[in-house]
Amino acid sequence: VTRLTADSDSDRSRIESDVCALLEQVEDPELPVSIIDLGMVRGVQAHAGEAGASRCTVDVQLVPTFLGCPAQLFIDRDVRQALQNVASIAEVRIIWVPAEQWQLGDISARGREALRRIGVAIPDDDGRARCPHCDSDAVVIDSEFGASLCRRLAHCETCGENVELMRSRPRRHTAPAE
Amino acid sequence: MTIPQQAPSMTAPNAAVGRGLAADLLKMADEELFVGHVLTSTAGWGPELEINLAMSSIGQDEIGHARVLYGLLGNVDSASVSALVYERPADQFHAAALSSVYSTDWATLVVKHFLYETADQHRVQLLADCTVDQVAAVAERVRDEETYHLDFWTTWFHRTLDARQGPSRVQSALDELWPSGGELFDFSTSERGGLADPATVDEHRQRWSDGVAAVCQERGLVLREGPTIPAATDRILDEMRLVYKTAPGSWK
Repeated sequence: VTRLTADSDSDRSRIESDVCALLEQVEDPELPVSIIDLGMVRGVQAHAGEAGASRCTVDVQLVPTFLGCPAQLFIDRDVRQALQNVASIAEVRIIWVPAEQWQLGDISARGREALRRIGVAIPDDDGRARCPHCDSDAVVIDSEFGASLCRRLAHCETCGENVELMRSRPRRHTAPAE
Repeated sequence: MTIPQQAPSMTAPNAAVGRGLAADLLKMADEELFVGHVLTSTAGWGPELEINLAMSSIGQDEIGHARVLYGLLGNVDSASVSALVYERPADQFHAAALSSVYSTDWATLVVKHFLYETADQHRVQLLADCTVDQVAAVAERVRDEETYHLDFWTTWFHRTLDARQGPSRVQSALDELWPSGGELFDFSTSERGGLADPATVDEHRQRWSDGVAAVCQERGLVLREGPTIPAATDRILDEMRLVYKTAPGSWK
């Protein structure tokens, strides 16, 4: 990372892109995918420090995949660690934005490929998924709940392998009981 | 219900959230926390590994919802959530007793959660309809996750009833828990600027009650009035705070 000061707009935007590059190294603790590829980073802003200060404050906005995901605390720590040696950053503020939606469509192509390699499939909007092992479309859900809040248990009827399926928003909301 | 001036240890109270609404959000957050804590402590009771995974996931979700609701009270960082949960005096928790009850068998566990999740559908609707945008904004995500919970417990409510002793066990669990269920809708009155006006809250309470009654009638169960159960706040706080108290300062 180049040493920059936060004195000008162009410096600030360079700091922001440097921060994004560093965040690509921060993996989700439960998946071998960066928080950028998972679509969790919703904003990075560098603000000038106090008058005369050459170091800036960086705000990083993150959306949780699931509200109760325990990885949030670790991601918080890992983001701070990733940015701690950047000379031009005086302070990192991590802002979680739980009101924003996170959806499977937010996962990048690279993220999808990394998940496929570890046997995790991503369903499409209609809930259909291809087996990460044999590419068949005969993936059957066994349980809506799995090894982490973002995954559920499934298997492939074609090759017989166990499959983990990323969890998506429910396809319908149950109306309150009348 | 006494309303604290502001939630303890809040670095900056949320100006958009008045006292009444803050009290309601705090009550709801405490209930989600209690439900989550007690449920994760019973993960292992399920008849299959997958059921236990589901129970711990649901518990984790509820604790996450508690965190988000605490967050609406003000500028809440990790340390202040810890203070709210680990240091707040027991008499400042106003959670409905149902949320805190420890189940004695599978049927009471299933009935507790069936009642809670059906009521929560209405409570989340109250959040969604809240005039404070920040509150309404979190409702959609909470509802997404609660939909899975409702499906799970509804399935198990019926599956448990299908067992040979199911009807009698579910009936006695209902006898014990049903009279306390309505407390889940005990929110502030509108004069204090609560989550919703009292008529709306009562309407949701009634619709929930009618919905549960319809399911029960279909399955040959009866909803009886009876004594309410006491809240298990002290037991929950003792359990939850054990490590925090044993090793003060080492847990952030």
